[in-house]
Amino acid sequence: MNFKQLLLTGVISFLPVFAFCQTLGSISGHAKSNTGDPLIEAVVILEGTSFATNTDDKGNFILKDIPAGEYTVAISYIGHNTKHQKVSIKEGEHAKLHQLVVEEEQAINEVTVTGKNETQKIKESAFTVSTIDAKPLHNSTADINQVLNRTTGVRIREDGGLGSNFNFSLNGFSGKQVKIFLDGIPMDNFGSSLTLNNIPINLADGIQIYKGVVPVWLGSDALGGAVNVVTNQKVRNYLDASYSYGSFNTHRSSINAGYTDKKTGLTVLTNLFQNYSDNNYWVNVEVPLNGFDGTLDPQKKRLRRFHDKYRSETAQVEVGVVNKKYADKLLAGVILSNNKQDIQTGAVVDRVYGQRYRTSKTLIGTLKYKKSDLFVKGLSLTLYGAYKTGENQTVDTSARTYNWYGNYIPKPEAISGEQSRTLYKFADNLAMSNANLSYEINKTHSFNLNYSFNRFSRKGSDEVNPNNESYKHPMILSKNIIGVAYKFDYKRRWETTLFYKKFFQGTQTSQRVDIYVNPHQETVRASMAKDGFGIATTYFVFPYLQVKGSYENTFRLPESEEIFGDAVNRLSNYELKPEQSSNVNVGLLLNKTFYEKHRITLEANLLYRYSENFIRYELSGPNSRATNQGNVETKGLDGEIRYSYKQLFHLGINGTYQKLVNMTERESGVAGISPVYKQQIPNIPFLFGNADAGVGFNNVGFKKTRLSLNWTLNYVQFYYLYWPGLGNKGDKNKIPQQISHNLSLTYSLNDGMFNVSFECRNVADSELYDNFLLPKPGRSFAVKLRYFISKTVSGGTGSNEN
Amino acid sequence: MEKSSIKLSLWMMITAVTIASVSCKKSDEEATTPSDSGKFVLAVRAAGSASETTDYIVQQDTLSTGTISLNGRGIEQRGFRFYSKAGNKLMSITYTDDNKVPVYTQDENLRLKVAGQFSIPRLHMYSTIDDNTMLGMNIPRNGTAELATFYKINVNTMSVAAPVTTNVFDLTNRNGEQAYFSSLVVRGDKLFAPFFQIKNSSFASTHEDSAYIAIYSYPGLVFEKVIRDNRTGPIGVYAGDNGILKTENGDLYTISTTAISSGYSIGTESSGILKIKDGETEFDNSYFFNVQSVTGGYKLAHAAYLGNGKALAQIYSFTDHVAGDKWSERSVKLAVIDLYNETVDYISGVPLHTGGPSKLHHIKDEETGKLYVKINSPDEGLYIYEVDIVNKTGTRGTKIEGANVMGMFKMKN
Repeated sequence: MNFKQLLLTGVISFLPVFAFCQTLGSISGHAKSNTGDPLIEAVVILEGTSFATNTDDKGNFILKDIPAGEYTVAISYIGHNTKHQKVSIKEGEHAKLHQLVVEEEQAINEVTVTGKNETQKIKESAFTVSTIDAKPLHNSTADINQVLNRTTGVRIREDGGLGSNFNFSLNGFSGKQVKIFLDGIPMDNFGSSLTLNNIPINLADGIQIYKGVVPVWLGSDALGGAVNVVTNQKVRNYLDASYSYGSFNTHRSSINAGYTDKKTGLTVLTNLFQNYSDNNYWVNVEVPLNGFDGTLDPQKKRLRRFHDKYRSETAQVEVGVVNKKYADKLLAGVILSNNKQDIQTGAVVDRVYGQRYRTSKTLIGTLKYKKSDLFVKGLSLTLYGAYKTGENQTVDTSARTYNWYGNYIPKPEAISGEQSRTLYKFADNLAMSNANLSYEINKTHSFNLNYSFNRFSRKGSDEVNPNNESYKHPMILSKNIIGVAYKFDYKRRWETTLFYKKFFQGTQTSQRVDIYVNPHQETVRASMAKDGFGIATTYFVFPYLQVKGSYENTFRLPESEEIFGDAVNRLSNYELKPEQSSNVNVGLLLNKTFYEKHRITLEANLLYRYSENFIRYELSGPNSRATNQGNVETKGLDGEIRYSYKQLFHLGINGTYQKLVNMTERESGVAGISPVYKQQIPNIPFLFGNADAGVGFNNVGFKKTRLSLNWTLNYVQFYYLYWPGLGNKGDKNKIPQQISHNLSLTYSLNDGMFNVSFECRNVADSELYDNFLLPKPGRSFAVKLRYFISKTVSGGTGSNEN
Repeated sequence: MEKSSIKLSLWMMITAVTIASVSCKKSDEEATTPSDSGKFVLAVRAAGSASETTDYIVQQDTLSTGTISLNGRGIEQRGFRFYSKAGNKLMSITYTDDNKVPVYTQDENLRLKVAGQFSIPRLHMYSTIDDNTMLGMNIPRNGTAELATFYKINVNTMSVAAPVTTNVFDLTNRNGEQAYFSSLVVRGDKLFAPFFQIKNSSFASTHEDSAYIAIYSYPGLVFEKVIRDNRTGPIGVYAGDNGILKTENGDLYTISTTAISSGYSIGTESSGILKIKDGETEFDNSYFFNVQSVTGGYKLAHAAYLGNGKALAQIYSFTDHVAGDKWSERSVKLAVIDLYNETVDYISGVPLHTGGPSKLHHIKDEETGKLYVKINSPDEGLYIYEVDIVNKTGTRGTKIEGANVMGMFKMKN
């Protein structure tokens, strides 16, 4: 075989260092490649500890306050192999190592960064957090949802194909109970074109999934965790352009580019992406014998979806400066996004539509500011402000009844809709801001203060239903959250964070009151305040073994619609209380490399939650009303094992078991103890897992190339739609067991500059369901072409990241 | 990189994929136990929020003793449903987006079997016309759509006849509100369709001063006229189909509850019963059974005809209905009313309970002459009571572990 051989010379100078006390030392050094160029922003870590730093623009680094002991310094840099160097610091002595020159044989493309990058640092914090390093996935056609779905504890349940509605659940919590962030900015009301299934994985650098305690800096009222998608934050010049084409006439493309002028610090960041699909996949459906109403054919028919097109386009541009005296980063940006979604079915596949659709438009302005060492050393300020405006509309003006053959008959009423005639439009306006002040007094003590403000208003109108009063008068919801955290770090072996959060919420709307005797418009208000608090702690038993524990008492404040109703179908409930949960997480993390070739990581987490006052809608005559109905106890266990052999082979398997039990002892309208008290909550997956394996070879056919083959498996055990214990077993509705295999083959040329990938999803063409009677696509194929080039701004080596 | 490690890696990958594929080929758990049997059929709504729960159809030979638990028992339904019986056919009728109606029959071993399924648009009202026919209605309620649609369903062939429409705004003379039908009763060649009025899906109204019935030809379903009587308020309740009681001789008696607790907006008219004599299509001016004044101020919630001029009724036990009571149907008493003699007799031994939902759920067993009534009491729980209408007493029978009973039937009478 023809190996590309690149020699990396790591010159590490271990200088005599000044120690703060007798047992502490420090290490400094200089990293450069075999070409003689200094390595800038290389990751330097002490393996098995949380000591880590980056080299500066001259290739120098320093690590301070290190307890005495034996360590291995690892230096990793994109496009280069990780350099390991043993170093010893003895108690009471200054470690002094002479200049050391190391030459190592390297094959450039064999590198997977095994050092402690940002992803791993977060993973090793005291919080129970799963992290995904998105960069190795940039050649896949996946969107962020599909990547998240491979994580322990996460289930994303989609109604259908590309762009379909989905429900994100984390450890059994879903909807508004879990908050989603994009670079720390909450995405919950961004509109349907800016959701995780629209965003290509190329946009993300990393994803953090907080499974219990949500850190104070995210400033939110999450009940059961949060997801933060982090985009490319590094100062580099880069271009990442990709296009994919696949089954069901699916086109997806994205262009991400960044440019920073070295002298002026002027920075421009651009993300453009687009999704389109006909989603005309095959489904097996029961259809009436005569085509429309009447007796159903007992034989299912295999038919294509015919009204399920989806398209979305998004553009994000940020302009500003970096590395200035007054700001590390100051960026002003704008996000424009829109989509159109044809609606093929109702809540189940039996009800079919041929012309209904939805649209959404979003415009967001953002301002981000960051400054470290503000006034005094260790004091950092991060600010963001965002204003979102947008419009969402459902259009149902077709006087036709469609069937699965795509045929239709006219409705009795010439002016009507397929489900209910509507041109209902609502506009959301959202103002958000977050200020985070952190102060690191010294290595041991640090504080964090966060304030976030959020104001949401919604107003609706319907030109074909002028009498529809829902959201005719704006509903306004404002939220203020203050968080304080204190972190104690004992020699990087034991880290503890204590925090307190105060939630304030005010809601306001105008409603027609006293509608029978003296109808008039009146402003109605509701407000509430709650206190959340908790602790997160972690301890390194050995440098490679870490234990974690955390506890939190937290709230999810009700939305304005839950309190005020919508003036039409949903009634108001001013007594509504916030959802509350006490969350406990315990975890174990092992990360060890054997003989420099075999790397094993193991992660196991246990969780316990007791949640009260779940908000649910309850029928009241023909209307419904939000009530605090449920108490739920959650016990969960998840684990993951990963093994890799050099950069040649990797294998991973993970699994999640979660049991959510109904602790609602008394139900409204049911005398005595509820018959379903202590039963498992239905329609929530309780056992699921993922496996993946891959091989990769360098220099296949040509130099500087890499060929990799990857396989992933997704498994979900069957679960019941309704209470598992009730009803005759053979007559129960269930969501069947799901197994799907995906395969992908990627060939990269010129060190990852040109990439071509082939993917086959659902290889076995299994009938897949996330939701009851809502089939997902069968076997599909896709090809993706990607061009990627990146340069560090300070003039370091151009190299790829994958 | 040596060739051996490449080979090794490939083999490891193949092994991993194979192990995963094989180990996952485990079939679903499938423990089918025989479904139960019995002459009485009950659709029981299980406890829990709407997303977690549905109805279970159970069968039982006695309703006088014991407990019906849904643990491991009953035919699970889907979503929110109503139940209707025509002849030996039980239909589990869709209300939500799922538009499939399974039709059950009872075999000689008194076990329910699925006879078939039919598809139908969303129904808001349905009524059994005879042993072979069900009449369903889709009624708009958004305040702008004008046409309600009749669907005539042959329950044996499960076929749906071509729909016929009627304009809900024309029925109110376009006074700004629409008609919303509460019952459908066929007598001879006429269909009587009482309605109340609503502004839109909020179900608010300012027109509650009279009782209204739209009369159509049957089976042609051609609109003929609206009759009105201002001695009481609108007839029937939302999705109730129990606003008109038909006696053996063909007289019709109409039930006007006029109670906020039953979903009305104003509730100031007297609750009472009007009459349409057999063969006539106008209210009988000489008859008004003012139940509210006979009972000393209490309004009717629901009524069901038993025979010989006697009807079973649920009557509110309180007089001041406030906005917070809307749709609650709370605190009713069970009574027997005599339509001919205009008397009300309360049944003793039955606790205060919650009326409905939709109708007064009961079974009159023609074989034994026994009357079984579902009583959902917030204090006592959910029970079937055996009611003796001669002695005006009720006896507690079978206990039901669930949230409510949505339908109860004896398949073969």
